[in-house]
Amino acid sequence: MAQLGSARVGMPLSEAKSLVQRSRHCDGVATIIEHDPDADARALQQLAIDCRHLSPVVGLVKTSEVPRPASQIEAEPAALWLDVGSVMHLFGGAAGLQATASRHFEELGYTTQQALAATPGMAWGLARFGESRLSSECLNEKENDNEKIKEKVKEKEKVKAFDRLPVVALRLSPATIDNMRQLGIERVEQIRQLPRRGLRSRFGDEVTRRLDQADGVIDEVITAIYPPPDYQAEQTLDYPVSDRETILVVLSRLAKQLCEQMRSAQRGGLVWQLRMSAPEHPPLELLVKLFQPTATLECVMPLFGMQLDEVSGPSAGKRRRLLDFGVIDFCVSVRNCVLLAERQRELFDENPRRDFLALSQLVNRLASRLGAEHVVRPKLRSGAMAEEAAVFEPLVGQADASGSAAASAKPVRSRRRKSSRTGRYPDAGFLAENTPGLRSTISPMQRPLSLFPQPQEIAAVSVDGRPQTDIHVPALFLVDGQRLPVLRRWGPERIETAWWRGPLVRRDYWRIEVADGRWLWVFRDLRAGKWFLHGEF
Amino acid sequence: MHAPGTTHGTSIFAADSAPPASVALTSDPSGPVAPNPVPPIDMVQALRQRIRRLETAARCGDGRVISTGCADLDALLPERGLSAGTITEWLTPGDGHGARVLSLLAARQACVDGGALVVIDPERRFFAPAAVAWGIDPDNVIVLRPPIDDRRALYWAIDQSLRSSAVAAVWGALPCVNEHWQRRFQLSAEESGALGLFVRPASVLGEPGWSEVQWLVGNLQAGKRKGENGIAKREGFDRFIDLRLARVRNGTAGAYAKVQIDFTSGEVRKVYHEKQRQSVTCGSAITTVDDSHATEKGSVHLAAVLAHPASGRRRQRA
Repeated sequence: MAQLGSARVGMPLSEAKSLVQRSRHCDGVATIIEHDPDADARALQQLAIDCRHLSPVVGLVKTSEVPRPASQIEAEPAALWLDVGSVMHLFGGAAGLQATASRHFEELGYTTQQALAATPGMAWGLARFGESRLSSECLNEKENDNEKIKEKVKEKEKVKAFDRLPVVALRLSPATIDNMRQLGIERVEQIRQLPRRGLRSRFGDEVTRRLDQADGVIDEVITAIYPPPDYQAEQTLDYPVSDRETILVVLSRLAKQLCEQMRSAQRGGLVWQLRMSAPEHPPLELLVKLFQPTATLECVMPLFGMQLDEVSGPSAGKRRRLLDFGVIDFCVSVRNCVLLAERQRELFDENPRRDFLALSQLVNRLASRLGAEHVVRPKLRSGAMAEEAAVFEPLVGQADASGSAAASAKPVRSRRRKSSRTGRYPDAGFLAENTPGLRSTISPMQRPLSLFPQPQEIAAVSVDGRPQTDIHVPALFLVDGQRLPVLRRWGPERIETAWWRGPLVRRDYWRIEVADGRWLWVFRDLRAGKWFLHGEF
Repeated sequence: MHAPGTTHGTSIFAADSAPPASVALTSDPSGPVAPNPVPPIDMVQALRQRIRRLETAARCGDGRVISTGCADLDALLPERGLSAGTITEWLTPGDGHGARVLSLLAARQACVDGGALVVIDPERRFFAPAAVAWGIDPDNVIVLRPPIDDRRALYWAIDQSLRSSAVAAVWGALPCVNEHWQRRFQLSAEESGALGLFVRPASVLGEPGWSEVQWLVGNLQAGKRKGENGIAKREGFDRFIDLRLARVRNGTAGAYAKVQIDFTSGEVRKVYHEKQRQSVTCGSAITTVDDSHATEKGSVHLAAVLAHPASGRRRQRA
C-alpha cells in the first residue's frame, strides 16, 4: 500500500502522509498501523508452517544472518528457506514446484520473490537481489529427457548470476559492507578475485565463511519450523522428583489425559515428546516416534520407560544431570496426529504372522531402543551403480505429507486387499511399496548378498608374481595380505555412469571363485587402473 | 552340543537298559521276554517320538515345518524341514562360501505364509537388490543396523524380533554370542513360532548351543574338482557348495550333501549325498568328526557344565 502511494520504507511519517493524500490510489485516505515486529515474526512462522506441503524442511532466515542497517527496516527477515531437493519430483520438476509455490503464496495474499539454487546462501542472495528472481525461465520450461543436463548448465549460470550480485547478497554485517564499499568492492565476483588469506586478515572469517556457504563448501543447516503440537499437557510439581517410578506416574497421568482427548476425536499420535525441566538446568527431552499412530497409553508408556532407563543409566553423561537434580516441570506433547483407522478382524484369518498391530509394536520397540535411524527398510532404486541400487529409510518418524511410514503404508494395504480375497495382507508387503519393475532387473548370483560400503582396494598379481596392470583378471589377488588364486571367473560386466551424474565412474565387474572356495565380486576401475573388492556372494 | 534332555541318534539310548513302562507297550505282548541289551528299533523310534513331543510341546509353531529351500536337504532332516520356532545355524569359515545364500533361501520359505523378515545387519553390508533377486519381498523386510560395537543392543533386538508373532524369520550373521543369549533366542522363537536363521563362524563348531539344526558349509577345493568323490570336474556357471549336517535334534547328524545352485534361476538341487561322512572340507581346513561319538560327547559335556557351571568354566579355560 505504501509503495502504491509512492511512499518508501524509511521515509518520515509526515512526508509519507502527504504523498498518500496526493495519491489517486487511496483516495487520499491513509491508514496508519504501527509496525509490530513480533506480529511479523509470528506471521512468518505461520507461513513457514503453511508451506510444509511444499517441503518437509521449511526454515526461517535468522535475523542475525541478515544485514540490517538501522535505516533499512525493509531488510527484516521476511524470508523462508525450503529444502526441496528430495521433493521436486513430486511436483513434476522445478517448474511445477515454483508454479505451485507461487499459487500458494498468491492465495494467501503474499507477493514473493523466489529463487532456486544449490545452497541456502545462494538462494537467498538470488531471491533478494537477483534479476530473475521468479526464475520465469523455469516456469516455461518443458520437461524432457535432457532435463538434468539443462539443470547442470543452469546451475553454472546461477553461480555466474550470483557473482554479479552486490556484496550484501552474501549476508555480511553492515560494518563489513561499509568497509568493502570504502575499498571499492561492490560485487561478489570482486571478492572472489581477492586472496583468501588477505580477506581473513582484514575481515576475519566472516567473508570467507559466507562465500563457502554460498558455494556449498560449508554446509548450512536449515532449522526446520514445526507446527505446534496437536495435543499438549503440562504439570508443575512443588518439589523436584528424580525417582523413576514417580516420573513415570506423572508422565502416565499426562499421557492419559492426551489419550482421552485423542480418542474422543478418533485420532492417534505419531510423535510423542516428553520435556522435563528444572530451574538452572538444561531441559531433557525424550522423543518417541511411532510406526503406527496410537492413542493407547499401553503402547506409549513402555517406550518412554525404555528411553528413561537409557538417559538415567551411567552412559547418559550430561543428560543425566537433570534427573540427578530432580524434575519440576513436565510437558507431554503429541505431533503428527492422524485419524485412527479402525479395522475389523476377519473371522477365519488367524495367522499371527499377518498381525499388523504386533508388527507395529515390534518396530516401535526396536526404534525406541536402537534409534529410528537403525531400524530401516530397503527401497530399491533404478541405477546401474551398486551403491545407488538401494537406499534404506527409517521405518518410524517419517514426517511426510501423509503423516508417517504407517500412514503411507495404509493405502498400499487397502489397495492390495481389493486385489485378493484370501487374507488381510495378501502379498504381505505392508512395510513399504517398492516399484515392482525394479525387482526383476537382476538374476540370482549376479549380485552379492554382502556388499561392502566402500570398495576395498586389492592387489592383482600375475602368474610370474609381478603386479598385473593389464585389463585381464589376474592369476591371484592379494586381499589383506592373503594370496587368493583365482579358479574361475565370469565377466566382465561394464558399469559406468552418465557424465551429468557427477564424477564419471567406469568399472568392469567380475565374479570370481578363489582357491579357498569363496565367491567374490571384484571390479577394475578403468579410470584408475586398480582392482577393488566390492562384495561377497 | 545340545541342550540337556535332547536326543541325538541312537547313541544316547544304548546305555539305557531299562526303558520306561509306557514304552514297553511296543514290545511283544505274548509274555515276558529276556532283557535285551540292545533296544529294538521300534522302541527307539517310540522313545524318540515321545521325547520329541515333550520337548516341542511349548512351541507355538503348530507343528509347522518350513523347507530349507531345497527338497533334498529337507530329506536329511527328521521333520523333513525346519520346525517353526527353532534356531538354525549355518557355520562357515568366512563370508563368500555360500552360507548366506543357503540361509536366505530358508528365510524366503519362512515368509511364504506371511510375516516380516528381520535382517540383522550391523556391518551395513546387506545388499537388498541381491536378496530380491533370490525371491525376498523387499516390502516385507526390516533391517536392523545397531551400532557395531553395541553387542547387547544387537542381541536384545534379535530377541525382541524372535519374540514377535508378526515375524516369520530373523536372518543374519551372528559372530559370537554366549549361551545365555542363545537360550533366550531359542525360548523367544519357541514362544512366537518364528525361525532364527543365523550364519556363524565355523569356529563355534562343537560349542554348546541351543540351535535345532546346524549346517557346516564348505566349498569344493581345486583338487577335488577333478573327479574326486565320484564327481566329474565341473565347469560353467553353477555353484557347488558342500554341506554337512553337524547337528540335528531328534535325528542323526553327520549326513553330507553337495548342492548345486543354478546360476540363472537360483534353483538349488542336490548332486551328491552321503548318509555318514567322516570328514568335510571347510575352507582350507579339514575338520574330522567321528559322528557316532560326537553328539554323545557333546551331551555329556554340556550336562557337566550345567551341573557344575563354575567347574565347567574353569575346565574350559584350562
